[in-house]
Amino acid sequence: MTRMKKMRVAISRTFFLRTTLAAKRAGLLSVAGLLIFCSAAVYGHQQKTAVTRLLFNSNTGSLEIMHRLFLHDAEHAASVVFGEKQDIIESPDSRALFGSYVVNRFAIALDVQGEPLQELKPHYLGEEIDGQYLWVYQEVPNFATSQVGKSLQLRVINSVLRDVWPDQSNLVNVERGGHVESVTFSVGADSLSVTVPR
Amino acid sequence: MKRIVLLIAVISTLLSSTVLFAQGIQQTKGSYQDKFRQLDEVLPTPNVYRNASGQPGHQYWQQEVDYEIDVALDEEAQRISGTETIRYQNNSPDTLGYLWLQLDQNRFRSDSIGNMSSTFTGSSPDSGSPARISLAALRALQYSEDAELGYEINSVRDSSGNDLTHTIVGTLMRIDLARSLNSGQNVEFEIDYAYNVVNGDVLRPRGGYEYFPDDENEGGNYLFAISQWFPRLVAYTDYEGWTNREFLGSGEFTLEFGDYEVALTVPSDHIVAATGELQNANQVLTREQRDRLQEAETADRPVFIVTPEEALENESEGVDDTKTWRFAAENVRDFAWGSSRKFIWDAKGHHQEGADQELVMAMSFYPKEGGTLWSDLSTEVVIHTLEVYSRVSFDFPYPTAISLNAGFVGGMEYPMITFNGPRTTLQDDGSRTYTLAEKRFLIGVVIHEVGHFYFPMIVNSDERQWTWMDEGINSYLDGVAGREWDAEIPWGVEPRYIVDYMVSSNQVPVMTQSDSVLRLGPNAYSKPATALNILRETIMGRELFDFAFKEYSRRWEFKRPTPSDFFRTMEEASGIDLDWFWRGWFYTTDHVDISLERVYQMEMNTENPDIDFAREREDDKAFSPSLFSERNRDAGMRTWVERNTDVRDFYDENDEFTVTNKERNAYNSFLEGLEDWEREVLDKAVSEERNYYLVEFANKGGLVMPIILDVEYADGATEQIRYPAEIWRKSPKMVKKLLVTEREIVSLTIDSGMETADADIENNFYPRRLVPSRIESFKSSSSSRRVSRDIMQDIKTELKVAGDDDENEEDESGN
Repeated sequence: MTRMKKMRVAISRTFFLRTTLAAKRAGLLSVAGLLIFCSAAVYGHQQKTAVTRLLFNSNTGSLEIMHRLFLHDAEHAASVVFGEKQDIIESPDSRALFGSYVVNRFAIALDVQGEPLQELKPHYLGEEIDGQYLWVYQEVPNFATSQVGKSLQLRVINSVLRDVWPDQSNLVNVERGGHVESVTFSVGADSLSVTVPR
Repeated sequence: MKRIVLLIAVISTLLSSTVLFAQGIQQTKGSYQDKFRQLDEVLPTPNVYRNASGQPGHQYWQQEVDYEIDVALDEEAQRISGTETIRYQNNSPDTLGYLWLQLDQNRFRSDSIGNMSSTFTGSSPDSGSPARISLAALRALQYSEDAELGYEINSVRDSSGNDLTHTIVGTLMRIDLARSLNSGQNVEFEIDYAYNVVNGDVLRPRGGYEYFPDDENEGGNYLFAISQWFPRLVAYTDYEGWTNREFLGSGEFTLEFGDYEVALTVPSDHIVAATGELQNANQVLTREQRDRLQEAETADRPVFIVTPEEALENESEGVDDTKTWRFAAENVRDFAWGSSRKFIWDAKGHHQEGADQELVMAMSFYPKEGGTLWSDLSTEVVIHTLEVYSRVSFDFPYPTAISLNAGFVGGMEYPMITFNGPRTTLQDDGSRTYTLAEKRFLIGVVIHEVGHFYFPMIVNSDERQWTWMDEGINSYLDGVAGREWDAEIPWGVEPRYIVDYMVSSNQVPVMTQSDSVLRLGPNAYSKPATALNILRETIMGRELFDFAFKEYSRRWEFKRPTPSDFFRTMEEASGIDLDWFWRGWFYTTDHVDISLERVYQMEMNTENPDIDFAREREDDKAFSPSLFSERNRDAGMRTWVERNTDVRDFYDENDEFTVTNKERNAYNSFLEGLEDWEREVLDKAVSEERNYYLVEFANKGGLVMPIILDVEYADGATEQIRYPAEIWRKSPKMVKKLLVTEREIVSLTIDSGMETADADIENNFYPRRLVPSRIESFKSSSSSRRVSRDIMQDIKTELKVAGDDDENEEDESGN
């Protein structure tokens, strides 16, 4: 029973998040075919980088998606996107809110030649703090199992924090059977293709 | 004809570039890689300026540039204008016909190479969805078009007042001297200039202004954090000549040491913080402020020179008149300052017993927006940083150490002064609070930026070329100082955090020029910091590392080291060959992944057939019986032999392990044939009955590292064996080791302490272990981690008394 209740809370919270994001999108303007430069902010202190691991987990059969962000980045970004008073370390609500932002800025599709893109629908698992990092977790159950033995082309979009800071850089590592293929979402990168060998 | 010439030119360019990329020495047969090849042909040839042991050579020289600057700050127009007199001392052996200056503000011109070469970061309007641009990015675009940014150079004159020819090339300016400047000579010239200070909130520059429109003062207030604010000399060096590379934004600054006298004319109600020492306190500070400063010299906790209340009063209205603050700084490589009527100012003396500079005034300047986050922590963190860094390098040689709060800067460093960004948040009830993450950020950023006082402000590395030389070394040290501030705060310098970056397929080596580095953060900060951490904790040990690092710091204090000077000193002072380490971590993109491939358990043959044959018989029995035969038996089938037991012969009584005198004779003649020492060795081995294990290790990541092997024995005892990285020197991909033990081994583990940034943990175990992924662990722990508690909310919970109604329990547990 307790568990059922938990589920309902989570779902309604997610729904609430989506609407919040939509409202905040008003702050973003749609422009077609515009060329501009963004001057990069530079710091003596390192931040503004994130890593996403896509792991073909042969033990569980899932495609695991693990986003790692600097806590301090996440908190400031959450304040920009959702308004002030976000406290990522102390408040689970802030964390969940930010987690929903991250999964809304990430997409992945299977790209089979001659076929329309087949978007994967990752499940949102949650988020946790480790050291100075916030991790946000998603997974596509059975995806690793369903693709065994095939070499794949994936199309990835990762605009996490890149709509907040133009100098944000997101590394995506696709790990399968000990082999790693990487793409970086930084200057100019929109959706990127990754070829994943068998 | 022309076309042919062109073609030849192209071909020769191609040829020469091929030659350039090839290394002097190459393995051209087979795939063997010498991971321990000395860096001889990679490092520059030692000379009289930089010697082979990593020291400044016996004819080391560097230029000296002294500045007298007199400028006025126009708050209304956010504009700086004035003059600077530069005295350039040519200590090089060369004759100079011209001088190069850095015009850093020109980077903000809309036509600068930095701007013209930066690219659109948003998405393209394909697949039906429009391209998006944030309003902040659009604002930056509009601002760069509308604002007039960059230097206005009004005149360049020699000491007699004659105009000097000057040519502006992007962020650089060449001044042609009337007469060539010989070695040992100096020249003086004056530049009259102005520029509009950059809006910090829009372009997020290293230095600029911040605007507070909501302050009580009509028209709001400004906070100026001013840097790269005067034309300054390009460094002229023994290794590159003029280091005149365009300022693109990423590679920072390469500068000369010199003395500064600076007069800053600002609105009379401003408080000014700057590099160096205030020269006219009597004219710009009240008696009370001067008394407080004196009190602060020996105070236990920071003393307010300007209290929060006084600052609030001060910022409530402006003035029309001005004051001139005079500062002097000796032997610094740069000068920066901040000015605002909003500043709260606190100070505390830091005392260095026996140092040349016994008293250092640690000070913080911040607006009310910094609040108690700053008054409680900033100045104390400055002092803590000085203590730790001085211990590992040298006494702090300057009289002041300042942390100044500018909201648009994450953190930025200059001699004696740093700009740091953390702020409090204004709540609806008017109070100002901050989160734990913001507190940690303040501590971290102040340690890091103050750490830069040493690297590169004193150990003056070339930032335009090598970001890692100051950022990597300083990130390693901020981890040292951070964990001494509070070991509970995660500083993120543990080796395992760099693994994701080091396995990525699209990285560049650390030894890459700053503006070409992909992902500057992990490349120039975390990876070299992690490498140094590993060098200290795992490769060299703390004692040797600390000695060598201090040696490097002292050799290059107030001098300009290059990477080779660092590599050579660390190696030479520790006595440890580190070429393999520099090669792996700084010159390649290999990662660490050492795998326990196979383990064989073995027993020593005695050669005595009566013993060995019996053992072999036991081994043979230990094999599982044939499944086929088992099933036959289970089915009740009996073999012919079983059914006909009366038919027996010799071999039914004697199996293949039966010993005859033939073997015994052979054994005896074998013993007789042995030398005495051989027989002793055999006897000892036979009598000890040790266990022999052959362990195979594979280097899957490419980066050679020590093998740290934990051995667990059957009796529960454990042991750690550390094989040095040199184990890989003749076989970089696979090595074997023979372990001889009295006890039986039950498990082996590589790098149990996660010291080496080993990427794949799963292959570190014998027997193999399934290592759950982060997500698997997360699911099984169901986020019961303490850090996820909302303490601020939970602390309001009332204590339940026995007998209370429990009907809501389910709801709470589901919360």
